[in-house]
Amino acid sequence: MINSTVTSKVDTEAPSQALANNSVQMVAAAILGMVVLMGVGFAPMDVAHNAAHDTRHSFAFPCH
Amino acid sequence: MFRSMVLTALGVALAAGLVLSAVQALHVSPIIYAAEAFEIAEPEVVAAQTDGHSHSHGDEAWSPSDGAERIGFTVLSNVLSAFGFTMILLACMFVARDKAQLNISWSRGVLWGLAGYLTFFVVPALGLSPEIPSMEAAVLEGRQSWWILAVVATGLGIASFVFLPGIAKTLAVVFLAAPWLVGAPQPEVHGFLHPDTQAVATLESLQAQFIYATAIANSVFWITLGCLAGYCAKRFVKA
Repeated sequence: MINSTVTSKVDTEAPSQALANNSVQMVAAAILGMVVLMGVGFAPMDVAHNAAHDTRHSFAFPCH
Repeated sequence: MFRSMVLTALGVALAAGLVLSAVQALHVSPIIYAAEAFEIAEPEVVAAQTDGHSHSHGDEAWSPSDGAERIGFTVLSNVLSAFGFTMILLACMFVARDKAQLNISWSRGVLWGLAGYLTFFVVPALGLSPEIPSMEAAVLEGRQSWWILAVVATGLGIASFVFLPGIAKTLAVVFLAAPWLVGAPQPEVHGFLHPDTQAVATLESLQAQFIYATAIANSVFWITLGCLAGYCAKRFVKA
């Protein structure tokens, strides 16, 4: 909430800190993306495989 | 920033996932269903050999019933996959912006989408071709490991080529070559083990169609996803 009013000021005062903070968030975003992909495309449980079967084949994820 | 990325990715994933679902329903799923018609005949052979015990998937595991339920879960899986891809793509876009001053826009997004298509579909599919049900393939874990290796190496290869300066770009060759030096796992028997030669001919024809269908569906999906991700990242992500 506070961020929305002071963001621009913080960014100009400490750009390197803002970038470092951004990097952490980017890594977190990429990891979240990978975890979701692994769940849909690679999870070995039969139920996960059956629910996502046609998607796995369509993306050419290794299946069966 | 993280929150606005997740919300943006959800919107992009919903749109790109629905576009994929439409192309898939028209051109990809019919081939999967047609191939499965031959797969159902197999368990009887296995059942006879193994004292009535059923095939490898087991009877117990839940699976969506054909029709609306199956399509519904496929659409959901498409959207979730699209969300995963979008989060990775957005992270790459912002890192490239912060570290290499690369602007974010819908037109740059199309290039990001093409990079995603090469990384997540084209290169892995060159080693492990898209398969229809009932096709013989190598052990699953080996193929999954090679798929991940191909994706990571290709992604690093493209990034090295685009972002590294001068002679360092040659590092891209090392990354791009790595999965091929390891080699994609191959099955002992290629093709289909169906006893009927007519059925095998039909399955081989379906397999050839499937490669084209998935190549087209994935290209439409990735260009849509990249374009939307670029547009929405510029417009909606606070950073």
